Amino acid sequence: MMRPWKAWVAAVSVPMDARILAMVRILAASCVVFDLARVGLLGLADDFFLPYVLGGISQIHDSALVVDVLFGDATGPVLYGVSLAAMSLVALGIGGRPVQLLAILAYAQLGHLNPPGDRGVDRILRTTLLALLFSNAHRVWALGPWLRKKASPATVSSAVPWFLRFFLVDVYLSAGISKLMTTTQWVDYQHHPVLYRILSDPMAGRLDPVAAEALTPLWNAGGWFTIVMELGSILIVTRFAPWWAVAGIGMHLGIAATMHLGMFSWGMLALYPVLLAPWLGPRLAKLSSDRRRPRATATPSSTSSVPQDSAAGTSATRHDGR
Amino acid sequence: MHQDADRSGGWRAHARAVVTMMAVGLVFLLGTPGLDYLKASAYRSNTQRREAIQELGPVGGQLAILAAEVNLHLRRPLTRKLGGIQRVFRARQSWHLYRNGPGRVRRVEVRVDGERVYLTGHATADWREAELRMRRMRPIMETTAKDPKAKNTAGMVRWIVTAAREDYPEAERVEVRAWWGRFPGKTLHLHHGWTVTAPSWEVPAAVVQKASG
Repeated sequence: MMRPWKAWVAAVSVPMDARILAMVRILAASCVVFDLARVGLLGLADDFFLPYVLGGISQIHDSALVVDVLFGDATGPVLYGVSLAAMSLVALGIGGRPVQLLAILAYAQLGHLNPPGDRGVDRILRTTLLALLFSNAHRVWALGPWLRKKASPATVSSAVPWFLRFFLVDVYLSAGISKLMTTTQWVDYQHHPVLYRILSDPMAGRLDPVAAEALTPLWNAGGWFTIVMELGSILIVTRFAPWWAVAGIGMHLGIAATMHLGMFSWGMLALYPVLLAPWLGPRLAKLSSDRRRPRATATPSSTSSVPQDSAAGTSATRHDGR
Repeated sequence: MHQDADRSGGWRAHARAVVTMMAVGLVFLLGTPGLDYLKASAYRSNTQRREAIQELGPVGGQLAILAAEVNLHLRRPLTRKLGGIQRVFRARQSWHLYRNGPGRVRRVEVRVDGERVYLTGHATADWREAELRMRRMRPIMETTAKDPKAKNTAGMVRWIVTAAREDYPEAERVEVRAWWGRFPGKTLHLHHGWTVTAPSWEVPAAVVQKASG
């Protein structure tokens, strides 16, 4: 009984290169920034974020929307502006935890204001940014501390990365199990496989349903691959996580290439640095040591996922690559 | 030294491990794979239970019934007590992403004064495609194509008409039509539509029809 617990204690206490979580922070916030910026560039901010009576599209609003009491008719524009600005600051690493919390709350209220436009990936990114509040990700590769000449931590504990890994298991496993609970068509061999219908659905897919019909065996195989990936997501909490992530990257790039889902694939991939940490860590450490010393004398790459100069999770060494 | 002490079991390490495990546990409780997709009424009646055993076999059926009981009497009450925090952050832990795709091919067509300017997925009739394809717009477009009585269709049709009047100021008639068909969609039929005309430009209720198209 004690051995698994000790293993868990050791696992969440292992120091991890703080830049990996900083990557997640930057990528996750950037996805939201680009998405909101695109809304603005297309001139759709008022259409999405004003109520129907004021000219907006949606007549559906969530009862958890509370800031309309403060801002009245300007609620939509205010939330849109605050979300965009705060998420940009999070990506840049300015303002620390208070700004990150504000960004999450404002973006949540924006979702309550326009529920049809707030999808699963938005919830995933909010959960991720919420988890990152409990790490020092906001202090690494961050403009704020850099301008104030404050040292950024070289490592963080692995607690938040472990949370994110289990979170991804929950997301993928739920998706896989609910697919199989609704229909066995995902694993049947049939003429119009589920994946074919999804990818060639004119409303969301990029493929022409008539032309794509000729590739039925490919869609059957793709369906099986999807189920294997989602049910196999338990590998995310094992040492095989980076290998699973390689297949996951392929899956999400495939989704991005064949469907109009906006930031969905990019939002999911924003979490992947955590899965690729065993590979990324040593490369980041090597990058740091290469920059510190002339190339001719650089040492071979480390096998550790922790920078060579870091002593513990509490160390505060400024990265050379700032 | 500090690192070694921390990893081998200093109180900080244990506290961190406990808190992380609680957070992971909460996420899995709120969004238990499989159970969160199960309705409260699942496997409640004797008929449902008999069917489950017939369909899944004696062991599988009993496991499904047990899972439904645990879900109803343990997970759901706990979720109600602990799940409130999700609303604050709009971070509901329920992940049935992209289950089975649509059962029908559906396309939305926009005609301005009788001329087709947009058809979902069409190579050339792609008026305002960037906006109509935008991920926040797509779910409402899907609803517009699927359910003529849905709450947001009036706003969607109004948006299309307003945009059409901006781009075609001389227009007197804008039609928004939903075409349906079986996969692969070689033949589609008109399912429902809206015809909005000058000078009032008021969006009427949808006309549901099933003419061949």
